[in-house]
Amino acid sequence: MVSGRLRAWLRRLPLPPLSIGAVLCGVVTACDLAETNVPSGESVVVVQAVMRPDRIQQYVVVERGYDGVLDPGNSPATVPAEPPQVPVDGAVVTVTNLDDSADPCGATRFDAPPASGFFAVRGAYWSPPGCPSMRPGDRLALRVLAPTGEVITGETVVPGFNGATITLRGATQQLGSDTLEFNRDRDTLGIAVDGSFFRALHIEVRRVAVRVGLQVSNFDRTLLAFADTSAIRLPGTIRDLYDKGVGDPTFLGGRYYVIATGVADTNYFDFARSRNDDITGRGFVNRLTGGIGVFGSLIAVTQPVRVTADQDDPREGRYHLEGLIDTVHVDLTLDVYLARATDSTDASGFVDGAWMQYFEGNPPVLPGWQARSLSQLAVDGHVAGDTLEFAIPTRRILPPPGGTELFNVLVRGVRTPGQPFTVQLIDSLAFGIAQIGTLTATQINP
Amino acid sequence: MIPERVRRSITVVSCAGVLLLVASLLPAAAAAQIATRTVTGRVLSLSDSTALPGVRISLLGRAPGASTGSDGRFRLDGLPAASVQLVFERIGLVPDTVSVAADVQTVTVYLRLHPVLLAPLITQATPIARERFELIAQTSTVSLEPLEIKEAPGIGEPDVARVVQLLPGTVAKNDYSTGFNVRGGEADQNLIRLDGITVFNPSHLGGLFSTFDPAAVERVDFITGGFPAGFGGRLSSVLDVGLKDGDPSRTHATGAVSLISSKLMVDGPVPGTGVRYVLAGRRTYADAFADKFTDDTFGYYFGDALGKLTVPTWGRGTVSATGYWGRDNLVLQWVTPEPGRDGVDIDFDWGNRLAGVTWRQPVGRFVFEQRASVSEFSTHFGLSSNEYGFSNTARLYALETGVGASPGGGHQLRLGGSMEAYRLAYAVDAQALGDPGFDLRYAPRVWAGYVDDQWQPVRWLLVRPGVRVEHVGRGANFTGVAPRIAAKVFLTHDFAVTGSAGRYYQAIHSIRDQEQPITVFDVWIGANDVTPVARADHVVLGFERWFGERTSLSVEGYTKKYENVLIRNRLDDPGVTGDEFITANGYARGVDVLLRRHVGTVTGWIAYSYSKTIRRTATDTFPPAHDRRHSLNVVVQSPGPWGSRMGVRWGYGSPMPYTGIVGQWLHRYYDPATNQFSGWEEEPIAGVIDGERYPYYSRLDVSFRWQFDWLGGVWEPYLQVANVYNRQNVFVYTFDYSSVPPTRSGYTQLPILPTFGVEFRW
Repeated sequence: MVSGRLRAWLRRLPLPPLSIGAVLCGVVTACDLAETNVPSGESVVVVQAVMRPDRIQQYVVVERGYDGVLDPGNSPATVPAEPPQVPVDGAVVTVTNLDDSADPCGATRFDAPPASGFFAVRGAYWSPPGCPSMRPGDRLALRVLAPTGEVITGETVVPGFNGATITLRGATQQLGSDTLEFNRDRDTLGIAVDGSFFRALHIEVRRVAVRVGLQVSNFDRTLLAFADTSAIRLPGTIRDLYDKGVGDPTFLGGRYYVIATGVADTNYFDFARSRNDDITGRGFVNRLTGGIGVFGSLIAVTQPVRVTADQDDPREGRYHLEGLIDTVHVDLTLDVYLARATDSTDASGFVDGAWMQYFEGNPPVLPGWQARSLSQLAVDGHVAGDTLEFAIPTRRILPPPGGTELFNVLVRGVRTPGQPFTVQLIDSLAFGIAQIGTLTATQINP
Repeated sequence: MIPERVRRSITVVSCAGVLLLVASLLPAAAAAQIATRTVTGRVLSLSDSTALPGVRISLLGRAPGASTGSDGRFRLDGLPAASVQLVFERIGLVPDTVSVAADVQTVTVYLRLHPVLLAPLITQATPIARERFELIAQTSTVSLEPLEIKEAPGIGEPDVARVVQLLPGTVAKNDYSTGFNVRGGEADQNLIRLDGITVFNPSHLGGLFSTFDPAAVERVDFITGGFPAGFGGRLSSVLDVGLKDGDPSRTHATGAVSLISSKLMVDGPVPGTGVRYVLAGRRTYADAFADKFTDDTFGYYFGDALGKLTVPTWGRGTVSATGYWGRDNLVLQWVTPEPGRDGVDIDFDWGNRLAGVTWRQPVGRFVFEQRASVSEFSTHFGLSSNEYGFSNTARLYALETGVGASPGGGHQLRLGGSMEAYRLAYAVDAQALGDPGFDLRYAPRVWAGYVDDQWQPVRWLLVRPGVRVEHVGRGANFTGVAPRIAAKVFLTHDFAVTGSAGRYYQAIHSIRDQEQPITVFDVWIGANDVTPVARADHVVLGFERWFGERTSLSVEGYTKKYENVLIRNRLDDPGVTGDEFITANGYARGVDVLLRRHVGTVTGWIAYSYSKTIRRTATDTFPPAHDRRHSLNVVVQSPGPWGSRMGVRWGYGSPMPYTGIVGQWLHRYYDPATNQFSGWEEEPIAGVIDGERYPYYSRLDVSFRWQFDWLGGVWEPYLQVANVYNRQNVFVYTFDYSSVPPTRSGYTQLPILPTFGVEFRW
């Protein structure tokens, strides 16, 4: 059954009596009860850990829930890149493989975070590389001893992953292979997993927003779902109702995405699909004893996808941009897809070809533009009437000691159907408008 | 916080209501000491000798004491044993005063039609409750007259279930629910029938309104425990609603317009055939008007329709067909459509439909009754994009047969049997993702046979033994023997000690979460090899005392034992069948007191209940969320100011349990692509289940109704004000432990809420 955060969103929907009550409250009188102070609550140890046999190192996050005593502040949200809101220091964390008596790791002690370096994040405890050993079907036992004496334990069964296939237009290939292109308006992806000891699929789609060379940035999740099946179908027109609940399309033409498919154990599935109800405080399936959270395990594989769409609007299609900037010959193709069929709308596009980057100079070499090629790059823009504006990334190469700085070049022009038209290149980092130069654009297939 | 000035006025109003009722009882009590007599008779039209209903009969210079029924008959009790002057009057008739000699017991009066408007039909014959007291051994039974339902203050419009909630032994969890818990039972343990046909979820708008249109209701019998062998399938109570057959003499159109809905009912005869009919319909219209006056749409409506056709057979037999259809429909726009992007609607609809045919045929000393019916509740919740769907259907095919006989020797025997075939389906899917989800189906078939004998061996004793045998097949393979007995010992003509006991089985269950303050509807599952048949044992002991024939007092103590009651398991695994519920046992004990004025200018009741309910699961012992220990309801219907008829209801309820929140945790989201937890949601952590209690509940409602004639009809505008002193009864609490110190806030139940409407009748 597909599950996950959709349930949480559905629970928040205004049920008829509540909505009627709210209307009445608005008309007649305030229905909110006055806020009053209450005694402090219970300090619960929260442990969240997902063992990844496909990763070298594992980590366990140990923190505390809110009890009204300690102000949690507003800490960042990505753990363990950043510390949790109320980290627990000084915990003793071990994971033992109960089914591998020959495990050279033994009872793996997860280290407390060091004072500095990449792992210097409070509340995150890291295993030594390669430990604990994990084979499909192995039971791992977690034990966390908090400095205040609480003992939290849990067990997980390591899933096995024998491969997965992805089917498109009747053709099946191994999941995790080369970039797959599909049309969001016409195609449906079928994903099937061959695994063992797993309970559910974790399906996640993230947009690869900008890709400059090998650098990947700004992952944005557009779909998250869990299903206790071994196969699932992703129509190109599916929308994000399972994660953010806002209904935006999961896939848009002119963008690259990564589909992550994970096979997870029961603990992880329960952790992902259930939550405590806002009123009753119950509903989360807690498989830990002594605390709350998750000790699960998961193996994930990713599939890059290049998404196209039907190009029905006359402004959609392939454009050829060409011109000379300083001494650099720019020769790009921009394949434009509109997000909405409106006069003023967001758009995305694939861009390939000869592009440029700016070199700050290093005597005796003077500052100036240099040639640079682009491939497999998706960019965003906006189309209003016949005015097109896209942001194409480039980089500034700094003088010694060196380094690079990313920035966008805005490409802006007014499309003339059937005729070449001029587009301006503008430095987005410059204050005001710093025009770099112009190119000539031609729509190849309107 | 209620201002002191308002608090004082509340006290005055409350006390006034109580005093009004008590004061009205005093003359009746005094009159009981004087020699009285009863006069019965009939009022007919002078022109064609047809029966004249609704004629008010009063002792000259006194308030009306009775009205004629639909057959023109009346009964006037408590008259002096001397010659009296009786006044007969009704709008549309020329009033007349008739002298009735001391030795005359029956009169027939002819009245001349007057070319004015017809008056509303008001029946105040001998209270049904008094007849039941004298003739039937059954305990724990309350009957409601249509007028009582109509005049009880409510929300928007009269409502059967709202009035039932004011009776002893009954608890409503909050203002938003027409569901009710009877003597410690869950809401799904109430057998609710319309003309003998089971109704699964009799509510609209998440419980704010019940499905029964009071205008079409002729009688409501509510049995809160120890019910006889003829009833089965539920553990706690029987709410038996009977529809009108339709006026045999002329066609009426009755309607109402309120802030909530409009409704219309037509009833009358099919000329020359003896056939009578009732047709009624109702619909809310907020959805139709909202977009005309605001920029918003209101995607909700409910509507219902019912019909009844009664065909006479020979020897006072009848064949009647009853049908009902009701639907709630909610469409919420979740995702706004934009050019190039379809919107996503939440489509949510639910409702009942039923149809049944009953043939009732007296033959000599026997009365045969056969019924065939089908009843269905269905709901569907889905996203228009097919990414999520949920449905639940509960359908019941029922065949019933019974024969009543009076074989002599004080016996009134009834034998019967039934076959109930349930089809229950509960499915969740995500079609867009190709996930069939799960589809649970239950098909219990319940065979039942019963013997029910009321025996009056001597004048002071009524005994009603019975036994019901039920077999649940199709997976459950359960057979249960359910003995029943009721007894009434008359110590005087007006005072009887009463008692009843019985065993009850229930093969279908609602898996509602008892801790949720609102349940839009029940989700039904049925007994099979993993879902048990629930059981309850009732013992009731008390007394009933009448003060004359208008006022009664009943006091009943009870104890109930429950086994295999099902509670929704919020931690169920979608891949496992049979873990959707948690099995609980438990008990309920309490006392119900009902002081009731049945007939007169001032009517109403005072209902007090004490109850203690406990549930035990494998891991917890707790009072369920409906464990209200003390309930008090005062309901008064009396003449009001400005020529109105006034209804007052004041209710008190002791604190109800809820599960406190003791902290919060951050439920993080794991990202397998980056192997990090990114983002979180704050979730509450529950404390001891139902270990806390809300503050006490109280509410005062008033209603005023006026009547006038216009355009050839009788019009009744009304004004109702719910929660007059705007008490902030707690609906739910919410907690925030991320602040220092932690805080609690929440939402109230209904605020002060004035509503108005008008009813009319031609």
